[in-house]
Amino acid sequence: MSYHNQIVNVDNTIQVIVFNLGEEKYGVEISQVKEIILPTQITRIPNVPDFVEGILNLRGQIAAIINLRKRLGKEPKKNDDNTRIIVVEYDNATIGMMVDSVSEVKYLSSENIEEIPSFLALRDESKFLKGVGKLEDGLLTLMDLKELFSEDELKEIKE
Amino acid sequence: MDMSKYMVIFKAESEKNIKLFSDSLLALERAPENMEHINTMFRAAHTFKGMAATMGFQQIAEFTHEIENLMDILRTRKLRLDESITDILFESLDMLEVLVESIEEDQTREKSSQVSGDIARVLENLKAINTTKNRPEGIEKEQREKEKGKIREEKSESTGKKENEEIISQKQSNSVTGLEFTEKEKIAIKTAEEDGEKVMISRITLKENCIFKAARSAMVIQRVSEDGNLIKTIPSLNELEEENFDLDFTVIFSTKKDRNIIKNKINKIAEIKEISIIILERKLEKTTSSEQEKNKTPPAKEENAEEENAEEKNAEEENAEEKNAKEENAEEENVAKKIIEEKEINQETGKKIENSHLLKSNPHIPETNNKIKTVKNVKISIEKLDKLMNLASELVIKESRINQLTRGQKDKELIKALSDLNKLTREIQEKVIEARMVPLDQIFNLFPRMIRDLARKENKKIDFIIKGKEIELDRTVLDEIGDPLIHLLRNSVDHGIEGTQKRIESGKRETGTIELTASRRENHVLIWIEDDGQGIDSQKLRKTAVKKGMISQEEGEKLSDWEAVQLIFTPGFSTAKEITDISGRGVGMDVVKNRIEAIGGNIKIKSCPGKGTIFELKLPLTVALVQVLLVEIGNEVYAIPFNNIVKNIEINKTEIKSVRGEEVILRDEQVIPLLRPHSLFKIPIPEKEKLSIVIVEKAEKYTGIVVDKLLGKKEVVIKTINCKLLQGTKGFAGATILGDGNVVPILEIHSLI
Repeated sequence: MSYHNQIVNVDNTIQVIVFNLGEEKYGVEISQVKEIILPTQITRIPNVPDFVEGILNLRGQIAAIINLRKRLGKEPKKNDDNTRIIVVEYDNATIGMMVDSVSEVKYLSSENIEEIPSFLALRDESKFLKGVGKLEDGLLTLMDLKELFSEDELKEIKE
Repeated sequence: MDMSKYMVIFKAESEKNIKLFSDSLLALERAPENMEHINTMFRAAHTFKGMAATMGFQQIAEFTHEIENLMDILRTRKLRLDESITDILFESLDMLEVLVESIEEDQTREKSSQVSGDIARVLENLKAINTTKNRPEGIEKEQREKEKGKIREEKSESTGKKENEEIISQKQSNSVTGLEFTEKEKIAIKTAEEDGEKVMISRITLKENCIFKAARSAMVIQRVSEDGNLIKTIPSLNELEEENFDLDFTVIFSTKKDRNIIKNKINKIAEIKEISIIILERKLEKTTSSEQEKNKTPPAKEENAEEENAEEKNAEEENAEEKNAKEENAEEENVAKKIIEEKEINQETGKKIENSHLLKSNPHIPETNNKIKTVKNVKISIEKLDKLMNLASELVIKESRINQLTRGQKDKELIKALSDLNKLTREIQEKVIEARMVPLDQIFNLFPRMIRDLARKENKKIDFIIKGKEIELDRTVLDEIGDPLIHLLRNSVDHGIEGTQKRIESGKRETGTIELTASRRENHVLIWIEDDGQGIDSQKLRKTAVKKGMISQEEGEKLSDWEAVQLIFTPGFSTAKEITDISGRGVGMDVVKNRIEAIGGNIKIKSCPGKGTIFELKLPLTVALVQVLLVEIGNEVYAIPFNNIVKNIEINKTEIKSVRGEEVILRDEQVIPLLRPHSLFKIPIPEKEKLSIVIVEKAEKYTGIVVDKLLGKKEVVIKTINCKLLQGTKGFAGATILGDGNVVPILEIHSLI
């Protein structure tokens, strides 16, 4: 299956939320995003992989928070005023992704989405990506939530 | 006719009959001489056949026909019930279930599924028995004599019955029969009349050979309801549904339609012998509106009626009644009815029936019976219940938050309001939890048949006893224990109960016993599975464990018998020499244990070689609510479920001893190892003179968890975390939200130790 089928709407345009990790821009499809919150008190949980920050109370619901920097194998960074948590609904679970900052919402048409270029495919994080969107001011990497939250890899980590 | 409407009835009836048949068959196996069971089964098969035939399900009809024949042969004692026949009957039931189910999938049409081969085979078996045993030479003389006597008996019985019936009907025709209405019904009649509807009393007689009585009555009611409103039925709707009536029943309803139209509509329903419709034409003033007609002079009666009508128009109701009553030989004070139409006779019976017979309505009309069925039960989806449960929990959290915020307030009104709020929230929560409770019977009822089949397969004789099936558990708990129970029961049949020969040799009763008992103890339910089989050979367990490298030879020898038995809960442990169909399947006792522990329960085993084995399951009533002890470790708060906690103690630092590099304490002559969760959570261990220790239990062994502070006991709601990233995390059972909105992880003791 090509990535086009998964992420492109009927009108061939998708709306993505653009967020930043360091200098790089990433995108997650807006339909998957529930809300964007400021980092509040997060409760730590024992025995979880270190990219899992913990859990928080999202109006009576418990959301697991993962640190996207750590998940992608990047250098961790201290939270600051720009730090945001993008809350997504995935596979019946509420999961928050902690990112450096959230910048804007962009429309992307299918012609502007390409497969991951070879130079990126070599990087560790490539399996979490499902495509690259071309913007006027640079490239936008689209996240693949399925890989991001996959448990197979977690098992390896646990063991 | 549009059959789909009746599918629901058919389905329900099928299930009822299959269940009835299966229950009787199980009972019959134990008491083969009990004719009552055979008769019940015969009737069930007969009813089922009729229904299937009416619905046009030929395959089911054919099947049930053969079963019915077989039952008839058994009933007349031409054949003795033996195991092969029971097996075939059970198989037939399975096939019937398959057939009925395949209809459900396809709505109204029978589907020849891939099991059709099986079906054909079972059917052939049935037929084979029927044909061979039906031949007269197969009957022993004695039996034939017996049978004759039996038939004679039955005959005389039935004629006697007939006579009785005739007497009753005669009596009834001579006596005054009354129709009584409840207040509700009277209101219904009044409103109908005000709306310009006519109230009709219809008496329907079904054909003698009618086999689908409940459904027929339901169809009549359905037809009537299409054109009007049902007011009352005699007997009551429930009794109609239960087929608690002979051949006739009365339906009282209001409609704007013409009498004949209604009659024609009803007449289209099969298996109806007679319909009569009478129009009730006067308002009811007193509780009793009685009506009776002597049919000797029908024309005169008509005149009477007209007279009454005329007088009624003159508006002097009471007078009219009095007069009427006099003329009618003062039958009842409040004769309030005029008969317009008397009766109808179906073309099939040329016989005229007297009016009085028409209304010989049941002499026992329950007065308090509201015929307009009130809705007493509502089906509610599990999702809605779960949602409600969540909302109730939220309410409890918010309530305790408000309590916290208002602490120290002295306003009496506020305090009163808060305490009311507290009571109400607790009550809501309790009720919601109650609503989620389901009786154990829902899973227990599957077991008798399962045990029976397994025992047959293993060639063992087993009595299976169930106690306490009425005890209720939260449905989530119930969902989780089905498989473990099946596994344990299978084990009892497979490994527990010995073969007949061996039992006799060891001086035991030939038939083994398995007892499944449930009992409620405060906040949990105990379930025991007890067998009187061979017990568990602890020596064998030791050997297996050593062979599998789980323990060393030395360790094995050190184990007490009790400890050795506990080895069966170790992952990968299975003592069965070969994997059998019954308890093999690669699922071990460790899986059972894990499943039970996952819902906050525990499982214990006691075994006595040669005498039997007992498993004890301790289950929480509900998984959504748990009692926890809140503790501080570092600066963080954690919750430890109460069901793990033995007690908490405070010790001096000096009491800690070291055994093989591990920290232990001595309490009540027991060595209790200590666990410091700090390292686990990457929290520095504080240097303190006094230590708080929570002693927890796992597999009857104690461990002390060192905590920094005890914060107190609390009842909390476990929040499920669906995130797969966190599922199966060691030491982490979920989380709860406290009144102040803080999230607290709940520790999972079993995997932590």
